[in-house]
Amino acid sequence: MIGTLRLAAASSKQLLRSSEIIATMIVFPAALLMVVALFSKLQWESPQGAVPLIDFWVTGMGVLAVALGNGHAFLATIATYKAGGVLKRISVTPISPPQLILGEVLPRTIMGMVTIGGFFAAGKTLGADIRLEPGIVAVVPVMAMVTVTGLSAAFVIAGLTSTPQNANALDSSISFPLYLFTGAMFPLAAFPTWLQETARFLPYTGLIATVRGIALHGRPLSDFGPELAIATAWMGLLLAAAVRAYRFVT
Amino acid sequence: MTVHDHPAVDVSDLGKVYPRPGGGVLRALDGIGFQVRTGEFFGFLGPNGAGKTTALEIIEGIRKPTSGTVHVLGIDPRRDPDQVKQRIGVQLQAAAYFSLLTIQELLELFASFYQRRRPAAELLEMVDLADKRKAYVRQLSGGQQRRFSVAAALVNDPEVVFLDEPTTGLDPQMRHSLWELLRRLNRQEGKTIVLTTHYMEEAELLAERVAISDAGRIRAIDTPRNLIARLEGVGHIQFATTGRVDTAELGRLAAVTAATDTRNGNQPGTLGPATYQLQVTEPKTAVGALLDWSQAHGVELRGLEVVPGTLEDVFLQLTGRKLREEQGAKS
Repeated sequence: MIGTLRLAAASSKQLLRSSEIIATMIVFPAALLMVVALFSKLQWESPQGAVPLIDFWVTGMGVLAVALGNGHAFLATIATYKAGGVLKRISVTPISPPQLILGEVLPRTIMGMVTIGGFFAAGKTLGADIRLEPGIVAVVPVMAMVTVTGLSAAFVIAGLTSTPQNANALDSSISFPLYLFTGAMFPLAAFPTWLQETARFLPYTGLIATVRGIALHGRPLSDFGPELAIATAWMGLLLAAAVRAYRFVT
Repeated sequence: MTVHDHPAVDVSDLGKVYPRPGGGVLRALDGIGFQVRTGEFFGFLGPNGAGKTTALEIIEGIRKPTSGTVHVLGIDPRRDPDQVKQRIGVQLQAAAYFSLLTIQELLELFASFYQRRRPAAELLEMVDLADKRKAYVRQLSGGQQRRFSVAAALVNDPEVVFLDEPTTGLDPQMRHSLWELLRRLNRQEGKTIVLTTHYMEEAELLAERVAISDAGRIRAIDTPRNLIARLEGVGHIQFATTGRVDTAELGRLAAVTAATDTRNGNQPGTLGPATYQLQVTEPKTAVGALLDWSQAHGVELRGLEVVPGTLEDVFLQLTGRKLREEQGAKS
């Protein structure tokens, strides 16, 4: 336990000393917000009515920015650790793979929370109808799930690929469809029925819908049982796969 | 049973087979067996591909064997890897560390993984890196990085220390400084040390006993002195001449197995006499043949010296190949 906490502390220390923190917490979210701001007057028309684009994107892109931005940076770190021999060095100590994963995931989860908080606050300033009221706290566990899912996926990708370059290529090819089909950028209602049904089962679709429901409409978590069940299944699956797939010894 | 009733390391009939791409198998370890006594400095000498690192990684519990048994301090590392890892120190051949932690922070972090810990300041002092405690690993020189790796292997005050080619790539001065440190660890602190190397002089100088390995097998285990004593007269003859002579001609002399020019004075840009080394199986016969040859050809021999055999010669006799040639061919 002490080892895990020391790993988490060491990971936080490294994050604060690296440029990764600037990229994932400031540059990437700020670039997304600037794009959102450019289209702030637009609205999505769907059978359920009109939705301001800024509301839709600040919530949807905010969630994906945390999941994928954080995951992408984490993947680069882990793939480099693997290629460089850091993980092999750790494998000769009593630290187990789950302990290492936990030690690395904890600080990044906190970083993800801070990022989404800042993203929502900046989005509201730009005109998004985010309800910054006590009920917004319900977003915290959902965002924890978002971060753990993203980081577990990064661990799996790092475990399945032999070089940081291959890891990056696989990560990019997975990220692109997630932006398109999870309801982060485009409303699911705009898709054909078969695609809507399929998209519901993607890892982040339910989490994005939940965060959007809480942040824009003040709905309680209990309204999102099926969405959270699918997201929990993905998180559990990816976490287990991360522990199994991660090959310490290259 | 007390801790001293069993050897520090006990390896029996250890085998490791890897599938080859395109079919077939590579036998990295072919039934090796040896024991290391508590407090002993044990050397594992062999060229690249001999299976030294594979054997060490199986003993350390990070690689699974295909067959055979391993016990470290009486514990099977496959059954109880944590128990073994708590009591051993490992310096890997190629290992990296977190890049944005200072060396003191790294030692403190690694120490926190163990029940038994040694203060970082004490370890940095021991490896002469106290003044570099706030440096990152990448800011250290090659020799300092190796010394740091040794310090990192000692954070848990281990009973057995495994060092995988700790001095490879270091210049002679740095190598000697690391040898001093390893000697101190063994003699003053009583650590059992298992070291792999392809430097025969390193094994000869440091190890109480040496296992000579080649192609996944152990060819001989004994003290360096006993191994060299088995050579029965094998050694070297060194001498200098004022001009160049044909090494092929020298190689054909009686009892000479190989002739090399170690410094050629006639090459452009070089000064002084040409020097030669002959590898011989019977020094008396070879010296006689050399003197006859020098008289017949009017070649003046200077500084003629007969040097006893080394572990390099032991390796040659056991495997039919030169350890250093093997290194060169594979590197």
